[in-house]
Amino acid sequence: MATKKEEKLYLRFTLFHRVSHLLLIISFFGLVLTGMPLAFQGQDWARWLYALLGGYPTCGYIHRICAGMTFLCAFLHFAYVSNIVLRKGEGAKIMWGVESIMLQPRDVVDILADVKWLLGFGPRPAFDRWIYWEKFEYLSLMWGTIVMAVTGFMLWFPTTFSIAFPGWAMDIALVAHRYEAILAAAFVFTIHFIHTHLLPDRIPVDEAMFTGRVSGEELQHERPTQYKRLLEAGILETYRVPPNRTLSLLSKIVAVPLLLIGLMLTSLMVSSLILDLI
Amino acid sequence: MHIKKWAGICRNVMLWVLPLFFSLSGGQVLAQEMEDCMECHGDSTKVSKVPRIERETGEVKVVSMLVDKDAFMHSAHGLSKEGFTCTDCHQDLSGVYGEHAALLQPVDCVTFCHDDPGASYLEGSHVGHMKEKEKEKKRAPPTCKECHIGQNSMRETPVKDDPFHRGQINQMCSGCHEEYKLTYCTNLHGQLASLGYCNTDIANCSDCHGGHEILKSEDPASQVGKKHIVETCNKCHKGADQKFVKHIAHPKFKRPELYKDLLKALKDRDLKKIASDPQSYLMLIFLMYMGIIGFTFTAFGTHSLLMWFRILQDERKGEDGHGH
Repeated sequence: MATKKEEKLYLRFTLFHRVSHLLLIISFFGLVLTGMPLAFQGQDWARWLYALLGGYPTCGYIHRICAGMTFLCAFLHFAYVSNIVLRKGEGAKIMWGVESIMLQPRDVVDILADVKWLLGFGPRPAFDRWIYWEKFEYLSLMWGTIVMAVTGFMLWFPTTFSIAFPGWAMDIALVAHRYEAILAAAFVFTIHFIHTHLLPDRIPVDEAMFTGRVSGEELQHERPTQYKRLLEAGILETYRVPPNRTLSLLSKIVAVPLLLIGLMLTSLMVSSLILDLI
Repeated sequence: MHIKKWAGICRNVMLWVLPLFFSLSGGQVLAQEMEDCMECHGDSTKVSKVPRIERETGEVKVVSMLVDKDAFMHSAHGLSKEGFTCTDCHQDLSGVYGEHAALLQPVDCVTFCHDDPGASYLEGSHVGHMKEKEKEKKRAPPTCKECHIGQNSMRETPVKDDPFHRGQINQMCSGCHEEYKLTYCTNLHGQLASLGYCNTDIANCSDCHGGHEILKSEDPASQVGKKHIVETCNKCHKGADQKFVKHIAHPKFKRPELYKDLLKALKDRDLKKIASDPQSYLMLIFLMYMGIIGFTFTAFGTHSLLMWFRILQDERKGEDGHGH
């Protein structure tokens, strides 16, 4: 514990990003928990879960409120991005380069280095601020939100949309909404959870997205290129922040149950899919 | 004189007073109250469980002769203003007190009361078809009592909008139309019904296809036929128009028959048929997502697993992995 106190902490996520992520967690869990029983209607656990959350029509209301929260997140995100692009004039910086979350030529090199490391032929790759799978996750979140919003609205107002589209467009929307949801939920609850929280070196929770803080050691281990870059530019110390024990404890209290709920729901979904096939 | 007078009085009494007495009190003497039946049927020590053979399916069921009066009073007949009692339906017990024969005449719902939906049901093409298939399906067409059955007992005939009753109808229909039930559950209406929510705002089989007079969907006169479908959808979806009703109520993308049909159409080079059927588009979207899901989890699943082991191995070696 004594060494931990002396640990240097650096700010990785600003308050804006942390609050956005928290909003996203709440809305995502609300959406998945009230939506998934519908996709798995034949299962007993689906009946139980749907009734637990209030059944029909309460679950429908929760689902729509959470959808509204997701739209709020999307709106905040695009307001944030347009503020950077239009007012700060830093559009080039967030769209291209080391600080950008968009895919870069560099990511191809990173992927190759990663595969080499995974197969045991090379050292751990030296990633920069955003690792390529984090970029995939970000981009699939953007794409997924658009798909879910469009199809969700079609299912919410079917008669309005049938002015422009035939009735079976709503059926396509339902199929897309369902399988995009299964894809997103299963992805977040397994791949995202493993990549960020459940790897052996940081299980059970990576607090960075909740406290915003990463230790210098961690930063150097995980994103050595960024660490070196900031150190050489002499701006590393501007990211120094004091520890926040309360926030750290809170993030554990919130994140561990959410991780468990997500993993349990995924195991139910996967076992149902397999049982259906048999 | 006296004798004659008394004889006259006696005759008058015989002729007028006695019949009058019986006719006034007769109502109470002859007609049975529910309580008369409940004296035994409300007491578990006086009635037993008896086997009953379901005549439509040949199933043998053990039913209790105990009557739950409260449940009856909440059923369609109990709630009715007419104040029905037991013998209104069990007419062969009218005027019978005490022990009675174990086998009663089956209750006739149609002849005296429900001739209106009864006739249209019995003469409808659906029942005709069911009669044709009777031997093949090993069951006779359902009687009134089979569909309008109560939650605990046949006699607790539910009211029209009772959610249990509405769910029961789905069950009954899927007894023969298993395929359609499965595809219905792939659709939003069926998803909710399958989760056990069968209120009137969630369409069940009969909301769309009709209750007593069920016609083939190709028949223009059917509730889901050309003539009436807009009207049928409008019952819930106000403002539904000709475009809206092109909705696929029974998506088949999970059913093997669809793929067999498609293969057949492909063999016949009938691309027009495939392109004109919106079911093909649903199937495309479904297959596309199966592909995306399969690819994503194979790629990232392998990645996560490998990464897990690599990190453990690096830790065991005591390196931070960067080779320094």
